[in-house]
Amino acid sequence: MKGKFGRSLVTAITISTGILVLVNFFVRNDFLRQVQKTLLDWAIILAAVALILGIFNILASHARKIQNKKSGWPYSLFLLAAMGTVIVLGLADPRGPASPSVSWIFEYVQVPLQATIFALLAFFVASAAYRAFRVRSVDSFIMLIVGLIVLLGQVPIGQAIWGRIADAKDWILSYPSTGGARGIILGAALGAVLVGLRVLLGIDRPHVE
Amino acid sequence: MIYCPNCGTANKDGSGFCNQCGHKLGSGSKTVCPSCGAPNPIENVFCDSCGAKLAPLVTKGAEEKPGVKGLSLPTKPLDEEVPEETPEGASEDVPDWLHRLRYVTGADQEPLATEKPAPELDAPMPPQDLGGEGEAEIPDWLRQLRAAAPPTEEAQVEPPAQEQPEGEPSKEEPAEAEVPEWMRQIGAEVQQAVAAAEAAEVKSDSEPVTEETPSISPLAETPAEPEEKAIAEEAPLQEPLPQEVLPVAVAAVALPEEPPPGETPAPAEAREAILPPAVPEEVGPPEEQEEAPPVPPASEEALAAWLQEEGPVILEAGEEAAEGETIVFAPEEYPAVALPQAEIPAWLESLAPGGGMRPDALGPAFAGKLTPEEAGLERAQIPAWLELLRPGRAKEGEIPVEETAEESGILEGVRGALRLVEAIDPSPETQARAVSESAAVTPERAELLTRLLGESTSSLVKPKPIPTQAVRERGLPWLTALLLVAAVVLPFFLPGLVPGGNTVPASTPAEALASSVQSLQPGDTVLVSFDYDPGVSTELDWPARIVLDDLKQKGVNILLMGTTPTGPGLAARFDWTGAQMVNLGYLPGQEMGLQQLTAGITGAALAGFGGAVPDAPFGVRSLSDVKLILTVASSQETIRWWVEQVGTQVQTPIAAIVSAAIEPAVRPYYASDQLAGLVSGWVGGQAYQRGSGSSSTENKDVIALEAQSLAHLVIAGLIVLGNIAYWGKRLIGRQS
Repeated sequence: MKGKFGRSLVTAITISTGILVLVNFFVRNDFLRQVQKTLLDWAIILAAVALILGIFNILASHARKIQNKKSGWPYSLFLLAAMGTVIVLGLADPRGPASPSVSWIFEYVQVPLQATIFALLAFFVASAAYRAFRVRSVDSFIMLIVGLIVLLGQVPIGQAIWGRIADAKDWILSYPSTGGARGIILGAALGAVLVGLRVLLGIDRPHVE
Repeated sequence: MIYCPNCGTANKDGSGFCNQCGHKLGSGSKTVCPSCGAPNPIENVFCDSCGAKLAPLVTKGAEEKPGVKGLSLPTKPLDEEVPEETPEGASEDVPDWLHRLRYVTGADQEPLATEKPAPELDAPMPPQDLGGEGEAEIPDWLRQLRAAAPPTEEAQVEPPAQEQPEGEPSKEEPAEAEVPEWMRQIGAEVQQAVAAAEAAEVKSDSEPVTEETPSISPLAETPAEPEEKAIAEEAPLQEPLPQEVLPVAVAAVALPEEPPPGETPAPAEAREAILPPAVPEEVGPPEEQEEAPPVPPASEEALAAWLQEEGPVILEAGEEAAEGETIVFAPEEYPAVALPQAEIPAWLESLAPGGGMRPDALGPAFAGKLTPEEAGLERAQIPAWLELLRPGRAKEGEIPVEETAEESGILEGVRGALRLVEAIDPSPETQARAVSESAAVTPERAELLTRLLGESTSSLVKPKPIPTQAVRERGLPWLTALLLVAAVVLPFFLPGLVPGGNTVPASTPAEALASSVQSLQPGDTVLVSFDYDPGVSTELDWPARIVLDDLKQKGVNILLMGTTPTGPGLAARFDWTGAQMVNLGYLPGQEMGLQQLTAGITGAALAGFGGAVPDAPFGVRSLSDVKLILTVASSQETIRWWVEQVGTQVQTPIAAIVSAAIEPAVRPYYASDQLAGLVSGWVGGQAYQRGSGSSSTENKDVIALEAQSLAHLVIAGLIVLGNIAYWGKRLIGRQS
């Protein structure tokens, strides 16, 4: 929204709605709770609409690719055909995604394909392990030792190599790893609080062009 | 660079004040292009619009016209209003000679705001008795002007109206300098001459130069105020006028003929002799302009008396200057003096049209009859690098080539000259020599080069690849894949290959979840959220099934949902035969949806799966009615959403079944008691089974664990092998 008045109006709406939702966490009030519920319903609807917009965007981009006969347009054609098929089948049956046809596609097409793609990561990890975990300093050596302990401590063969590897792995995950993860989580949380405050106070206006 | 608008000094970028004059250099000031008038940043040298060079002294906010600071004469008419204030661009250190250039004859112009007194403008620049040294400083054009100036009493420039700014000394009373006597006499004579000229002024056809007529030359003769005549007499000539700064217009003024001594030229003619043609105030029609009479040429009688009697003396033809007199150049009196015949060298003379360069004309040294040493010529020192380029000269190790003398042409008799044929068709030796001056040209290298050039390209041998590099680039990925496949497939064919294949280590978080499940009573309701993608379904389906089987055996009511669109579909794939289960469907909005869920199950935007969401499934209306919340997630963010949005609002315990990859990131939530239990991956599922007292002995479970063990072992081995190879190469490299 261009113009000084437009930017100010958007900022005012952002601040007011954010404060209304935030206040409900500190003050127990039926009216405020109702307002918060209404605002959250609107946000959920917008999130669902964003999903639909994503579908239209995919449709438009791939249709343009097919129309212009760009490289890889047969794959775009197959994608649109598959998407259209699932949508049609889901809308045709009142049960929607629970219909047998959609369930069949999900069970025997989508799940195996996605699982296969995910399984390829194992080969990439194994290939990268040959190059990535090279000891070049004391820190990398410590990381290497810890990684081997956790890697082998997860599986039964680790105990065959070293009987107390499971305890070592548990200690590593409970203390050093937890401490580091807590630091990261706290930092991310403080950053999110700061960003939220900046948006509430109108300092940052990323939603305004 | 930023150019100061005041003095034009170049300053460094980012400077706030000028280093020379202290003027503020701000972004607010702009430089106006003199060509197109477009404003430009102060640091620009050329205009951004038209590309013309910008004048650094012109500012946008200047209300007044800047004073003339250049070399041009002031072009303002006499009756033009003079700015009362000092121009912004005025500099304090303007010499007097520049002052004189500014003032127009009769114009009321204010001098620059300087500390120096006003220059003497009511009298022309008197000649200086500079003696022998100063005589050379007076330019010729100035002498001509002086010679042409009529000796009139009115030949005094009217000083401009001076409005002194506060605090500055009065310029109407300049400091009394040492004025030579001859200058004072000249001033008096000028006044007399002007008065006499006015009385004896003859009406001419041409438009007379009056006081109102705009005059260009600062040396124009105009009547001076009586009270300013004294100032004119006393004003010293402080600096001579440098020749290089005087405008061309002044220099181009035609010199009048020197009047005979004692004869006073007419003032009008005198003025006309000095002044350029007067600029008419109104440009009439072309017919009237054509009728404008021409300017009479300067005459000898127009020469001012003071110029004749004192100061520079105009010599007659053949007259010699007396001691102390300044010679004035009179080009029309002196005939052109022929230059003495110079000795033209023979080589130059031979280049004359029609002449030819003959060795005989050059002398015996160039005819090949005498050597340079015999001819008395010294051989020049040729640098070593140039010596190497001498054609035909033999280098070290080379066979010397006999230098032959040129037989014809302009280089006849010269030895070692670059042969023309070499430039067109160089010999192989010359080519090899030109390639590298430092490389020793040996016969062996020449033969090698010739042989290589003569061989065909098909006989070239391709470079052999390095074995280790080939293995690394092609073999290693294949080897890795082969090992992984073997690790996964071998347990199917060789069960029990891995020692302790079914013995999983103990896991406290998994056992905690088992305890939570064991504490449930029949009829309790458990909310299970499937929040993972189908990609990790192979890892999370098995531990989720183990827990769900326990829940079914307990007889608890299960509410299924998902925060991902595929969650309810993944949940529907399990065997729910004999279980009390309701699939609530997909909950959009991620953490916002979970926040809504805390307000009530019916109020949440659950889409349902295969049917509408019942109003109160199993009598549950809010999360507080649920005994356990179990989330099966593959992302740390999902766990955070549940803990932040739901764990802080309701007292219901939350447990998680997660992928082993995110266990380190989720462990802190269990360590802080925000999660009641945590199962990670297959091993966590096995640990849960052991904690619940129902270890699985199914063959497929054992095979799965053995395959996972072998895969982990292969990856660990690859890590160790990579480090061994890396360090081994480094040690070998250091030793070599």
